[in-house]
Amino acid sequence: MDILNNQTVFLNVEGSTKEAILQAVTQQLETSGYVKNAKHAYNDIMKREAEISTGFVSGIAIPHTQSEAVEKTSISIIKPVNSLSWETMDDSDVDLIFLICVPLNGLDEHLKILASLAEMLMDEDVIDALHQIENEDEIVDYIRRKLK
Amino acid sequence: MKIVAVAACPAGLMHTFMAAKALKKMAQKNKSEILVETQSASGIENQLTDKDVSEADGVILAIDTAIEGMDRFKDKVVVQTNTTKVLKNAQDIYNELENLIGEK
Repeated sequence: MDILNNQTVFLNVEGSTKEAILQAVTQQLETSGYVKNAKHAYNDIMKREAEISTGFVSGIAIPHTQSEAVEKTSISIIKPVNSLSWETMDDSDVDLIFLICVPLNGLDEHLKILASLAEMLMDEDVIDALHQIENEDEIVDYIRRKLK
Repeated sequence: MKIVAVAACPAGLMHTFMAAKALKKMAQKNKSEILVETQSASGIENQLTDKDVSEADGVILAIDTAIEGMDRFKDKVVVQTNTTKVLKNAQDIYNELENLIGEK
C-alpha cells in the first residue's frame, strides 16, 4: 500500500508547535515524492486548519488537504517528541497526528480507505493501541489490518 | 426511532466520515435506526431516497457547509448541527431530536 508505509510514519519528530511539525513532515514528504511543493502543501493544510481545527479527542489531530501541491495520496502518522498545543474537542494536547494529503484528482481512488480511516479513528481501542506502538513497521501493520 | 442524516464538512475529507460513524454509534446506542448520507469532496454517497426521508421520524444534519437537497427535509423534524458537535456529544443531538419529535 503506497499511501501508508514506513516512509509515511514519523516518530519522535522534534518541534514545539504544530506549525513546526507540519513543516518538517511536509518537507520529508516532498523528499520522498508524495508532495510536489512542501511549502504550498503546508499552506493549504493550515488554510483548512483555520476553517475548523482538525483537533479531535484523546490527543489526536487529523490535519488534511486536497491540494495541487500534492503528487500522490499519503496517510502520514506523526508522533512528536513534545505534546502540541492544538484546539481539540476535549482540550487535550496533541501527541498523535494523522496527516492526510490528497492530490486534486486523487480522492475517488482513495475515498474508501479515507472513510475507513475516519471510522477507525472513532474506535478508542485503536487509538490506545496507536498511542502505545513505537515502531514504524508495527504501526503500518496495525493500521493496515484495521483498515481491511 | 427512525432517523435520516446528512454529514458534510469543509474539505469533505475526514470529518464527514467521522461524523457519519458517530451518528451510527449514537443510533445503535439508543436502539434507533439511522441512514447517513455523506456529501464529501467526491460527491454524494449513500444518498437518501424520498422513501427513506418520508419514513423517517426525524432528520439530523451534521453539516459545516451548504449541502445539496436541503428542500427534501422541509416538512420534517430537523436538528441542524455541525460535525464538531456530533463528534463531541452525539447523545445531546439525539436527545434534542427526541424532544422535538415528542413536542410535535
